[in-house]
Amino acid sequence: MNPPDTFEADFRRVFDERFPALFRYLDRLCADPDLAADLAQEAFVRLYERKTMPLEVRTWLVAVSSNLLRDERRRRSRRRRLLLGRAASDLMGDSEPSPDAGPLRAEVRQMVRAALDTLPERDAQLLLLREEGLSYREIALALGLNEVSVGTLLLRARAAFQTAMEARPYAS
Amino acid sequence: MHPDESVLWRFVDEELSTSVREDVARHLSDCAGCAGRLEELRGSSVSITRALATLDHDAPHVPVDAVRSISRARGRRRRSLAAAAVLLVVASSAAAALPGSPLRRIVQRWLGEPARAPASSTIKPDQAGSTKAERPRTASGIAFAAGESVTVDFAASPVTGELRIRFADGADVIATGSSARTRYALTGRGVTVTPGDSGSFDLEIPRRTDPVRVRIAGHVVFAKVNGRVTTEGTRDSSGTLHLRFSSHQRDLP
Repeated sequence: MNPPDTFEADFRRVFDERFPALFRYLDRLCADPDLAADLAQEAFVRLYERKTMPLEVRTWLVAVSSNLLRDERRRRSRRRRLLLGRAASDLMGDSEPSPDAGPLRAEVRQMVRAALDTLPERDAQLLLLREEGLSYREIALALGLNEVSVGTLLLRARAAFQTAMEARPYAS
Repeated sequence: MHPDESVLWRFVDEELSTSVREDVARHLSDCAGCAGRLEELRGSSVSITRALATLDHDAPHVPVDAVRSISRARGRRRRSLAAAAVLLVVASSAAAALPGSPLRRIVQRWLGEPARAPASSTIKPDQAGSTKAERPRTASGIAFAAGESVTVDFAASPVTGELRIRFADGADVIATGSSARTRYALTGRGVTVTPGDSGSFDLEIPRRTDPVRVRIAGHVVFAKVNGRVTTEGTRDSSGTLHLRFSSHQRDLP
């Protein structure tokens, strides 16, 4: 099997394994499933254009898609300033829950969303990446942090999220 | 010594080294307080996982072939844009090289050429920077777009040295000398070269330029008129003409 064939096979495998998780991470982070899907797809397009697999493909995908999200937020924020005078978070959207979700689940979902939104961006990323099963080392790589500090930062992010959850109804 | 919360979280996250993990596990088996705290953290971890899962939407179905198609389409578009950019540069260069071209005048103004400079003479960007007709140079040489005709005047004849003339397919007259003290001044017809001292000079002239005259200390030593070249120089195998400088320069017959 020649190298291009190897890459094609690796790409398909990585895509099948990683796309849903990357979409989930981005969807949770930006609260906009359409945008999350676009960003995840774009990250994979860029991976395909590389024609070689990065050594740490999972952290590479997270880093690239995080940069894409940051650029998109900047672009939307600029558009907001110029046109609408609305909060950037309004433009990022907070999509309706899935059709099968009941009213209680919708309320819980709103509460979780509100709690997550109280966290600084980096803390939310730490929390969500850990939920996706990234190791401390991978989180450090993806977010450009010192690996030694990830444990402490993650502890604070978890505490802040739980405090925000407990400050709202339905926390129990 | 009781492990702090950071260590307990690392225990939950399985981020401790084997030896430390074993030490903590031994402590937990003997310390009900720490074991209880560990269970609380595990509970918190599960709660966070459940809470975040409420945010999830179904992942869209994106076929891997769609990603490949987007990448290939972009590749084609990039190649088309690159080809268009090359065409644009070539077309602009061609337009700028045409005598009387408006683009050529724009380039001249951009480069700050003096108004009296001939419309057919444009200094290359790397020659720009001074609007003085006389340009002292550290590297001896000048290039300018040739008009229909070109006259190269050597203000004086170096005591010793050689002038080499060759025709090229480009659009620029390029004069270079071995001496850094040589000065070059654009004129309405071409360029005046003031040799600083002895040395050799190379003159590259666009093949299409006609008539061409080269004078040394006022004497015509090379002429091309209606395609006919008259010179005292000798032509080598590559077609380059070689003219020796002389303190007693005289006109061509």
